[in-house]
Amino acid sequence: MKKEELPKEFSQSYIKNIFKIIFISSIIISCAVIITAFLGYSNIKNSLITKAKSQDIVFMVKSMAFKIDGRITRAVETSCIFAREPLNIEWVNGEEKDQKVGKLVLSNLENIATSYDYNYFFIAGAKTKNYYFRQSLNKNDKNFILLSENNPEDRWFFETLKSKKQMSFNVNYDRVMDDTFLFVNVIMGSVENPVGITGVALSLNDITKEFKEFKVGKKSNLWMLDEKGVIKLSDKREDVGKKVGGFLPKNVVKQIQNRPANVKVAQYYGTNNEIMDYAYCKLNSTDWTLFYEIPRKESISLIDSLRINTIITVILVLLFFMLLYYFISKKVANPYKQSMVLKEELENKVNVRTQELKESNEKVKDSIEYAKRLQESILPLDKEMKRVFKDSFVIWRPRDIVGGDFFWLREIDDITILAVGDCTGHGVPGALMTMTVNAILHNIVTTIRSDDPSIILKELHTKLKETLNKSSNPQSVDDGLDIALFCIDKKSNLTYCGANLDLYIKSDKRVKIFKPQTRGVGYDYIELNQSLCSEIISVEEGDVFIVSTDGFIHQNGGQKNYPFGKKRLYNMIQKCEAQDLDSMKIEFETTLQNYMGSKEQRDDITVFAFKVK
Amino acid sequence: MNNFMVESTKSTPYVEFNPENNELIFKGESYPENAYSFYEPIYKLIDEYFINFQKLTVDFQLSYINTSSIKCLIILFDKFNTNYKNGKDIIINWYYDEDNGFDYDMGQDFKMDIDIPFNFIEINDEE
Repeated sequence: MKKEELPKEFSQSYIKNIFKIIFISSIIISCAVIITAFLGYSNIKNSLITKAKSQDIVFMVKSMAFKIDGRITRAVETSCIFAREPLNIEWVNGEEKDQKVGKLVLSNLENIATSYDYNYFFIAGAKTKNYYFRQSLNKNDKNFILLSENNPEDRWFFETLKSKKQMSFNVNYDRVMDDTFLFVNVIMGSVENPVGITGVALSLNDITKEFKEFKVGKKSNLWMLDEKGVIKLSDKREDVGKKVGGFLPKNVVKQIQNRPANVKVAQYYGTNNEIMDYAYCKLNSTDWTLFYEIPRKESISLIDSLRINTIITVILVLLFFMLLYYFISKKVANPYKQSMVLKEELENKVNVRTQELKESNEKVKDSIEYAKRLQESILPLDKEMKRVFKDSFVIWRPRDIVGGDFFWLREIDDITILAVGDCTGHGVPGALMTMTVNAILHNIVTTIRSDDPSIILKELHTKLKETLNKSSNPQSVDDGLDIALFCIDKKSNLTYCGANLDLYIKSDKRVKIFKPQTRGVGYDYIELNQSLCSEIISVEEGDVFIVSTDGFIHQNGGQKNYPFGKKRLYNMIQKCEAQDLDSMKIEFETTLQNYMGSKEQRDDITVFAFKVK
Repeated sequence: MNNFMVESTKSTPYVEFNPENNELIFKGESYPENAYSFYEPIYKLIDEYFINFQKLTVDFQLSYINTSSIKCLIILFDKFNTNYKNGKDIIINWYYDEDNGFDYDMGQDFKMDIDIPFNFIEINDEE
């Protein structure tokens, strides 16, 4: 059962651990990947923004301004040259009456327009209010239109004449060409007294085209604004003429009106909280401002794909690591499998060792079992006891297979000699002692033939000391034994001598205790009293003589795990109502067993009881 | 002299030797396989102790003592007895539990061999 349960628990905890490891590492790697990706993403985003703001937008506005400036400057220069041409001034001053000169002037007019890529060139006289813009194709064809102060489309002419400014710009619808143009108007003659106006018309369509070419992003705006903040040019025709305040926040409009010479870049939050980056600068050629704005989203639209790519990369990396961990823990490292192999190896080793130990243990056990047979052979046989005693029982329970407790019976002539002993130690050393004591006792009773136990005891003491403790060092606990010795003659006279063992005599409810006459036998430290003599005990009918070695009283058990003790032993003997000794034995054994419970036996236990014939 | 203390185990008692308080305490059960090796250090301590000290109170509260431990304790009591005869002030308190019986008898046995009076003190369950 245990063997099967253990790996199961282990494997469960193992799987748990795998998932723990995978989980923790996944979290760590996820964090690392996500942080790295996020940092990378935001770094790229920031640098893109910086680049867009400091380079792209600026560059665009700058180059656009440069291009427009170039175009306008050229137009202004051309117009100025034409305005100062004396021939032209003279022709206009003469109310364009000189047809010859007029032909030349208008031919120049058209030549300049075609060869310098202007939409057209015009010249208008202050006096006649005639507006010339091409050569007449035939004689009847009128090559001019008459400007009227009442026509709002012609108002520019009269305003320019009154403006006292050498040069001015205006965006206007040209009713002749049916198109909106950027006009460069230059006053001919003095500002105070103008004779006419000449200038260039630049098609807004052309400039708008260029605007469109420059513009990046769908929602971006590229405007040219005049001093009043009116959109003069835009890629979207519909925005032209509108006030910029309708598109931008007030503070931005205010900023733009500062009209810096260099490109300025800034940002504002537009509708939907969208970040708008914008740049602006004053054109060199005019007082107008070039303005460009683009939503941040569009200027760094690259970042969207970067973000998607980053997220995909993160997910792929995480998946990859999870799979990797799974395979590493499952297939490559698989500590469980390895531990199982290791476990099997170890188990085999343990089995071999266990087998070896078992064998050697068996050997020792066999040897001790044999020793037991030897030890038992010195114990009197049942039939001997039955012959000698009226009734008797013996509880002989060595703690180990063999022990230091023994009982011994000899019939020499008419005398029966009984010994119940407890040698020091238990197990094999105790058993060796019993054999020695057995031999010595045999020797004593066969050589001395004494019927006095005290003499046997003294003799045993001397001989045992001689035999065992000859070379004992003073430090060691020397060896000896407790013994109760009885001599019973045929007339049932009983003499007794005890060493460290109590004799209980039970007659009905009465129990008499005979204290031992001396302490242990054979010990170096005990000087045996030479005046030691035996007790002569008169035997009553039914008297039961009981001797117990200390194993019984030493046995622990009961509620407090105390030793059985003499008091309990006395009570047990006293309360026993068994008529025959076999029942008494059973009662004693039951009492002992009940007291011990599941506790181990502490010492060799021997109880010997007999009734004299 | 330093204090000496041994925690109790299944088969050996708790021993505390406190020279400052002139105290030696045994408490528990004593049935080690090698009793002599357990008690030997205590013999040495006692010999050293009585060179400088005049007084000692020994408390025994041993619920079980096996045969070899009994022999070791006899050696211990002999040492006490020798010092007692040399005029040292030694008090022996022998604690016993009425429920036990074994411990009281042991005390009585030891008492017989030496001249130092034993104070038999019954312990209650609460202790």
